[in-house]
Amino acid sequence: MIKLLSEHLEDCSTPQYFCFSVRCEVCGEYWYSSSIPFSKAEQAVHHQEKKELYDAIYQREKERARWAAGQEARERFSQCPICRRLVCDTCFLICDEMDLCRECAGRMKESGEPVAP
Amino acid sequence: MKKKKIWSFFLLLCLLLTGCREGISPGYLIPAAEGSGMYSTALAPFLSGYTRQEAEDTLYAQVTQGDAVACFDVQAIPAMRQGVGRYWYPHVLATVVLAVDRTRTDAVITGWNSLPESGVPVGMSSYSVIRNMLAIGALSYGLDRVEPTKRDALTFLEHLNQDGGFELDGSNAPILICLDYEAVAWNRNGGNYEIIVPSEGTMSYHMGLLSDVPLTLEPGLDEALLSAGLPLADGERPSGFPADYQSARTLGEEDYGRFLAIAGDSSRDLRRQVFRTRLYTTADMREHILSALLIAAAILLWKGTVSHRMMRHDVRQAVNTLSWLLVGWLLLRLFKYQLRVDDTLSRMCWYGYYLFQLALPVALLYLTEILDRGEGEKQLVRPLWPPLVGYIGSVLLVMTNDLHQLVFRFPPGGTWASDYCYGPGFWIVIASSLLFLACALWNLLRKGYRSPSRRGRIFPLLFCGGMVAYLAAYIMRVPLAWESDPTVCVCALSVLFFETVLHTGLIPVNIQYQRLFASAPTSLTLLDENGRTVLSSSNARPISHSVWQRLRMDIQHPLLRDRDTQLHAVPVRNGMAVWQEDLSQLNRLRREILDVQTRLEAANALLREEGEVKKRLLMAETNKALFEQLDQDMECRITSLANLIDTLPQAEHPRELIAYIILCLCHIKRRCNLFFLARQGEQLPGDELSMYLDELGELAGYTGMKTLIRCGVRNGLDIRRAALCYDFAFETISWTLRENASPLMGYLEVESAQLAFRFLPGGNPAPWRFSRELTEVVGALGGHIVCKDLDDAVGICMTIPLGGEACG
Repeated sequence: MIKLLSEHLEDCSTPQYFCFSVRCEVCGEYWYSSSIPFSKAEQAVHHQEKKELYDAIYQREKERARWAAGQEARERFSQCPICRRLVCDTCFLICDEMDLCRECAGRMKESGEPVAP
Repeated sequence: MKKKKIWSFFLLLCLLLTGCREGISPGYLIPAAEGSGMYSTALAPFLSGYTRQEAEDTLYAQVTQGDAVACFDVQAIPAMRQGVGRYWYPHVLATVVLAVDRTRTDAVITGWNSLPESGVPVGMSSYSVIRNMLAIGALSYGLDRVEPTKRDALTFLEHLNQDGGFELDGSNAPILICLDYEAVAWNRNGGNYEIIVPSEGTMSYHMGLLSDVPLTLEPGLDEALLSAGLPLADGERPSGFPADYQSARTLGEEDYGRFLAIAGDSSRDLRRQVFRTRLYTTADMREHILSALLIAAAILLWKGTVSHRMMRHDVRQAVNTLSWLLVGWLLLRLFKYQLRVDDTLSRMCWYGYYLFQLALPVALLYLTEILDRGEGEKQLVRPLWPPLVGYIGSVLLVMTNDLHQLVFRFPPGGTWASDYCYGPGFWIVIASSLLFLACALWNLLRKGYRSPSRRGRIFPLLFCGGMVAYLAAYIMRVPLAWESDPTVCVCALSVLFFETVLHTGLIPVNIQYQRLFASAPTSLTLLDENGRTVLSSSNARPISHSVWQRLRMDIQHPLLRDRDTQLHAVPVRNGMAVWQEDLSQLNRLRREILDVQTRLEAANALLREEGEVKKRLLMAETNKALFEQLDQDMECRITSLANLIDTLPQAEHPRELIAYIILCLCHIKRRCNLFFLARQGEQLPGDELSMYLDELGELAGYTGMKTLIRCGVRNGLDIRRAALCYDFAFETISWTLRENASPLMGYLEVESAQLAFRFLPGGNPAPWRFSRELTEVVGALGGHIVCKDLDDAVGICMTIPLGGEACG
């Protein structure tokens, strides 16, 4: 799941903060992780001579932010056991037999409640 | 938000600190119930460690503070049941009786029912709440011993009042409803009261001490109480009391609940049902408190709704100020109600009313003044400092009244709360306040009249009409106005004033936002500071929390909600406005463009390939044509060369023939060169042509012929002309060899835009016949080959029009 999520994480970061998004493969809506500000954003702007240093720090913090975003996304996304797609909690249904994405549940005529209505 | 939290914490801390008190410690003997003064005085010497002091708070509060409180059993027993006070010491038995002043009436009074018949005015000796309760309780029991009800008592008193015979504070009435020991005391002081225990029945109540701690009383209390003229709890009475108390009943443990149900709220019911007063305002403390809280809550609610409707920030501030002034006034009044002693604090609270009251007209005037200007404009048509200065001066004048007595004047030795008159300062303050109010009203009327809407003209008039009607009713003592609460009326009028301004359309309101959003074709959503949707157009999808967080972090940049929806946001006060841009059409167009681009690229690749194929084909065809042409061009020369080679073995002079064959080969080679150079479209430099000609002359020298050919052209020559010159030179050398016309001299030069190639052979060249190809080409170029007789020799000359660089 983590691997799948990390594959689907899209980078929306800016020089000021880190943010990642995941797109639900059923409804198509993007989910955005909590934005984490770059700790040296201001210094990086004012000290261009240390650009390489700040770039390295930026990359390191970005990796951490990516990991945190993955953990955050894990709480909101599930993998459909049928179609193997990554779906958000709104599109993931808790059914009697097995939890399924909305489309698979509809196809199989399974009824269920969404994880997050 | 942080400031609010700090303030909340600070207030809570203040509340806790001021709400807490040090541990219970015995201290004071408090005569809490009215009429317990005599009892407390007699009791004080027997209660060591306690000092007599007037009540500063409710008796329940005093008990919890560790004081010993003198009160009646109807107060003490229910309080103990509620956990207030743990020890009750009844000492005195007080009975509700009728005291008839025999100096003023001879009417025969035996009980309650004889009161209406007597036609003599009846009064209550006191109007305190507890005394009203005791009297109503006794009267109810007297009127119906089995099923006593408050209604019977009130109806009885109402009839008595309608006949002009009952008054609450009627201590001057000939007949008084009082406690028996009070009447005995009056008689002891020289009065002539007949004390009548109502024959229908009455109630006796115990008076005693309520305390949270056990009390130790010195011996001899009973004697002291008897000597003070107080009957003991066991029924023993000193002289001066009636002999027969058979009709009096005391309350048992189980009766107190019923008693409170009957006698509770007696003061309120007496005022409303008996005296028909306080019909339109609060009648007792509970109603005072509840109404103040309700009105304050209503004002705050109104403030909330108005703030919600307002679009202008400055008007919203005016509403806030107005609302807090009203609420502050109500709360201060409520606070003053809680004060049981008319001391300085109480008086300052009274003065404090004017802090809020006088600010209202100024606030209303400010409101009407800012209506003309746009939000954010600093300059007003009229400056606001005069009313502000007037307000501050008025407040200072009132608050310092204790120093100068210019506003309220208190007679020396009197009670300030009731015995006061107005000084000149009061009238000045009220006049200035009324002036501000009049200005505000004038502004309202004037601006309303200018308003284009009909409501703008009607509503201010309605408001002014309503206010005038209220004042007229108040002056004419119409109960609805006269008995109403002035504070509440001023609050209501202030609120009505503001609502009038709102409904005249002088203040832009946003009450139609919901309709606007509901009918908006764009997907627009308003979010509050916590990301909750406040307003949303019907076709807008909800904004998720993660999207809101991301927008809040970077509101400048648009955000993709999904591939076909882009969100844009702008910050607004306390939140943000988000609208959703539909990208589906753009995406569709982009997909179509990409489609077309792909198709075009494929078509281009196909065309490119086709072009290359055609090019290759054309090249092959060109090569083929070229070689065919070359073959055709060289065919006759190669044929004649082959013939020459065939005749070589039979030749008489093989050396010369070989040399000629070589000459032919050289000619063929150079012609091939020239053929390809002609295809390349290049020119032949004059030097190279000279070298070609020298080469021909040199090879001709192997045949024994002497030749001298010079090229006077240095610039580049057109290949066709150069080839023509070269062919002409070769054929001339060939004829010279054939005719043994050596030596041969030749000169090529440019002569007035013509290229002239002259040869002077050793023989006559007239019979020479040049090849058909050469003559045709020379003719085609407009040139000619002629023989010229030069007296002692004949020369041959070819002239062709010049082309190439040599031409210019």
